[in-house]
Amino acid sequence: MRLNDKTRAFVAFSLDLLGYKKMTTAVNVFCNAIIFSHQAAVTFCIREILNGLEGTPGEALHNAIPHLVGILIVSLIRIAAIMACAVLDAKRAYYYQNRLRMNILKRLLRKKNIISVSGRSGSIFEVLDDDVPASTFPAELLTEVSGFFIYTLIALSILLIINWQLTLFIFIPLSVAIYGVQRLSERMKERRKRNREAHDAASAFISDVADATLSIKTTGAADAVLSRYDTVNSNRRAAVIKDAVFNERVSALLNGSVCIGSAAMMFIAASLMAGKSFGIGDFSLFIAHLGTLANCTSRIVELIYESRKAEVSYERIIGIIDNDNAKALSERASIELYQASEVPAMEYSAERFSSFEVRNLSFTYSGEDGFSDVSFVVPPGKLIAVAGGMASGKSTLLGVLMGLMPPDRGDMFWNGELLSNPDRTPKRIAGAPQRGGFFAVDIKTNLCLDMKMDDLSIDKALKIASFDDGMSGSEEGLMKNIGDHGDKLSGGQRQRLALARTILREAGVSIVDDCISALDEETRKEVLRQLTDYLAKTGRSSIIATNTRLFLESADTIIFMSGGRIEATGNFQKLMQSCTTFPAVISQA
Amino acid sequence: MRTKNRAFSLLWKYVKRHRKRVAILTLVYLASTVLFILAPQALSRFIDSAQSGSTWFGTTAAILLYLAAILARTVISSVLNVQLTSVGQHITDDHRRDVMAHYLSLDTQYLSGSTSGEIITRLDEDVQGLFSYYYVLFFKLAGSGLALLGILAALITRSGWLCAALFMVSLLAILGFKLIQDRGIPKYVCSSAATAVFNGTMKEVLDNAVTLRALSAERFAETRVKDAMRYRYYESFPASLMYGNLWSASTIMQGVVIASGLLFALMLWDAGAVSIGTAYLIYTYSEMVIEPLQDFRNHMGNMQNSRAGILRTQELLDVPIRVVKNGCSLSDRAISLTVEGLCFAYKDGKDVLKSVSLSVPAGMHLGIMGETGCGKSTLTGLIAGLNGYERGSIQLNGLELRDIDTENLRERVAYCTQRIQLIHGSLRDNITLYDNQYTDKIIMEAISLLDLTQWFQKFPDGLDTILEMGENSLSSGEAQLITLTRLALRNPGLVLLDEITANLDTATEKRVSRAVAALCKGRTVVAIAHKSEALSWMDSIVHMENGVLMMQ
Repeated sequence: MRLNDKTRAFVAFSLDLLGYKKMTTAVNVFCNAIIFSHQAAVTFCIREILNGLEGTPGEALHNAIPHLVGILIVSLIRIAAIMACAVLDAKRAYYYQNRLRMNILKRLLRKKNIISVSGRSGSIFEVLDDDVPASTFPAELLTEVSGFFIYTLIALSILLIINWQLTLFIFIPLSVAIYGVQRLSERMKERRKRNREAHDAASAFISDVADATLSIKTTGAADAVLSRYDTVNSNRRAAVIKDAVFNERVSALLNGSVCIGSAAMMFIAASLMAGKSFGIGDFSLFIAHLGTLANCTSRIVELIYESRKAEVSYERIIGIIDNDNAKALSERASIELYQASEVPAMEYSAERFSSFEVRNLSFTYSGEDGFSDVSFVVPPGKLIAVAGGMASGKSTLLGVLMGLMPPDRGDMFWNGELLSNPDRTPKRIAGAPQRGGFFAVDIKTNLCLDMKMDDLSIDKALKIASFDDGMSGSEEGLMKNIGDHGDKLSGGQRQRLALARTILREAGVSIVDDCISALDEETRKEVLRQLTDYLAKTGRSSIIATNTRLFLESADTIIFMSGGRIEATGNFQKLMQSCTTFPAVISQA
Repeated sequence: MRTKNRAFSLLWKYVKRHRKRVAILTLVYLASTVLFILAPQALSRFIDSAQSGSTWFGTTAAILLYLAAILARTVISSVLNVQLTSVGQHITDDHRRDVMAHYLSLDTQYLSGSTSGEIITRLDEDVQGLFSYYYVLFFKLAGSGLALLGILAALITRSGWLCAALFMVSLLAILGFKLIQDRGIPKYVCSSAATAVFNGTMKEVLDNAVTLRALSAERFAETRVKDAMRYRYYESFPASLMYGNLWSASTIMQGVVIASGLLFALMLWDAGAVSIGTAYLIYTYSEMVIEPLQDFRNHMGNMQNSRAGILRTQELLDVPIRVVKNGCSLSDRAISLTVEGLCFAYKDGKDVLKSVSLSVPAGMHLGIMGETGCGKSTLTGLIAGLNGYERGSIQLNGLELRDIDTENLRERVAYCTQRIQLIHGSLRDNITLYDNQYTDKIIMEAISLLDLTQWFQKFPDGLDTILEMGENSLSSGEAQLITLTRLALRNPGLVLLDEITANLDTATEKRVSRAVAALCKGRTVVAIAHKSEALSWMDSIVHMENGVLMMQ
């Protein structure tokens, strides 16, 4: 078979999976061989019994008893093998799929541009949910097919021993069929891809409808949406029917060749049977095993079919983790069962913060909100505000500082040491992006994440963020589950929780993209007071994106951005005097 | 039993539309079952004629008969499979459409609280249940049952006792499979619950990837996902042994069937009652029982799953909808609004609106101010017809809201929320929501009406620009502009604005404000906000607190 590079990569991937749990795989193949060879044993017993019909009536039943008992015994052996396989299959599926998931996830979380991950979280989730099992399936299926193959070899040897000429003869129609199936399967992958696209289009459409339900309802667009839904569905339907046609062609081809093979065999057997050299039992054995040979072929076809399907899934996986990371998919992932799952929380050592410097930083992408040539230095104990209107690039700048995406040009230095992205240590820079970041667990876990924190530090951080709300000091309050994406909290509570979490990490520089827009005046004042106090006491610094007058007035330095460049730097008074465009962006509230 | 009937009547409702095709397919199916049962007869005749060394002609005829029967059956069953899949897909797609239509007409209070993931499951996967129900019921179970009965009928003339014995074995096997299956249900429930937890954890980590990076807390995500993986394994383990149990039971069944078939064939032979060909036939028929029984084993579980899917869909369909057809229509001018003694509570909740009364003359702009949760959004939602009301009255131009034609209401009342509602696709699709009665000319007019021509320049392919999803694409302000354009396509007489300038930066706020002003010109407006400056352009402002309006 001709293999292109992609297919070769997939085969290497599947072989690696088989090598991952060698013993389990070997035992699994053995058990599968027993399960299927049971049929050979039963068929052999039946042959012996039926051949007994050639003798005189009256003794056939008596002679058959040992073989009838034999049928029952091999059935019991088979049951033991079946249960063993069930256990092994569950384990293999766990290890194969989850090692792969874990390695994909690790790669994703370490992508240089992390925004591309959360922005496509829906389609990435599909890959982790559907494509992972689909891509490991051939490796899982292979043990079963190997078992069947062993059984087929046994069956074939029996046939050859009984009558080798006849056996070779029935191979002719079957090999023609196998050739036909091979030809058919060449187009399999392409169709598989189209089929997948039709399904994806349908689920994407429904997901859109679910997200935009309110707009669709209120603009009376339901009928238009429904007729688009019809189009999407009819595309998918066509793909499904095409698939069914293909499968039926394969099975008709195989079954038809078995029919013709049986008929051909019957012609020859007729003359042998008349000469009594071919018993009725032999005849039944041949009829039974003809099916076996076809079955083995269709199982191998199924394996090829599943592999083609899996290859498409594998390419999608590679697509989301980038091609050169393909090797990473088979790294160790320490997901062993039967081991303590609780990994002890980390304690990172703090570093004393002396300066954070940004030199000629640029980030430009297809949109208009990039920035270029930004330089500044953040000394310890300062509150830095980044101000600017729409398309000023301030959110993008904060994103780059937080390490969400790599700068196109320029460097960042922490205490004079070059900062690399994405491998950062938590104690240097901690950021709170504009949206999200909440897990459906209790408040305390949402605050600490992977770090070990004592209650005193937690209370302090909550106080600085003015997130009291009957929370601090009460263990019960901290254990409250905040719901899916934190939706049991109000917008203001979420902002303050994000702020508290950033502070709790005790990083030299905390970077916050909007933590006050949903707060009322009183709370804002309190947050500002606590925050400046905290920064002054600890010598840590904070960079906050805001246009709120209250914060701008108190900031030690304002970095005012416009059109992706720093327009002016200085404190509030200075900017009010020197910069004519500055007053327009200030939000009074 | 009731659930079974409901699933069946739902299925019938859709199958009815294809009844001619289904009737033909059923006849063909019956024919193929007859072939299935007759084929071994030819085999038996072949053995007898070959054994006796009789005429070449008799043997050849038997072989050709056998070949014709099984070849015909192979071809028929392939064609049938494709045809049944096609009918099944049509049925499912019809059903899908109905469910989606119902979903889009539901009161919004039934929608809140379900994540989009859940909705996708309902609309797509659960609906698929109808297909597998149809497929399994008609094709697999009914077909296997039929084949089973045919085989037993063919045997009854040869050996009544064997027939009775195999009937008992079949019955026991089916009962046994059912028992194992039923005992497995809680295990499956447990397994799918654990899968849901695992998927939720994975999705959450991806959604929060940005924050995890910003805090360098990737390890947290890894630990969390690993825990969820192990949890899922242990919770699903009992369910993953289920197929082993079923397979074991089927192995026993197979052994018993073969042994009893052979036993009876040998007894009859020993008694000299049958020829060797007939003895072989008896054995072959008993062996043929195995395949349909295995079908029962494979598909009984699917039946339960698909019924569960159908029932979940049915739950959605059971929620009543309010659609007014051929009701009153509103005139083309600005609409006057009168609300009197309006009370409203969400299902199982206390009153969110407590006897609210207000009146807005045509063309007037009214602002409602209040804290989050005071009921102002509920009020605008009711005026937009998103939820039904029973106590009090809402009148537009003196017509009671619930008597107004739904289509006309959607056309004449524009509702604009702060929620970002974008779809994957072109700018045009996002503005028209697939409604192709709006030509590019109409869209461009709306854009220039809202003074957005300059903003529109930024889209490289104009209306054909595909909007990127994700964080670095459109800002929430720009999404708002798209919503406003969408509303400007129509000629609303009443505009409802729900906090539309919250969470915007100053520059966008100005552009949005200009567009809003253009949209609202000469129209009646009700706007709600929690900041007073967002309402500065209103003719009058009222306060709302705990569901009560406070006049100023």
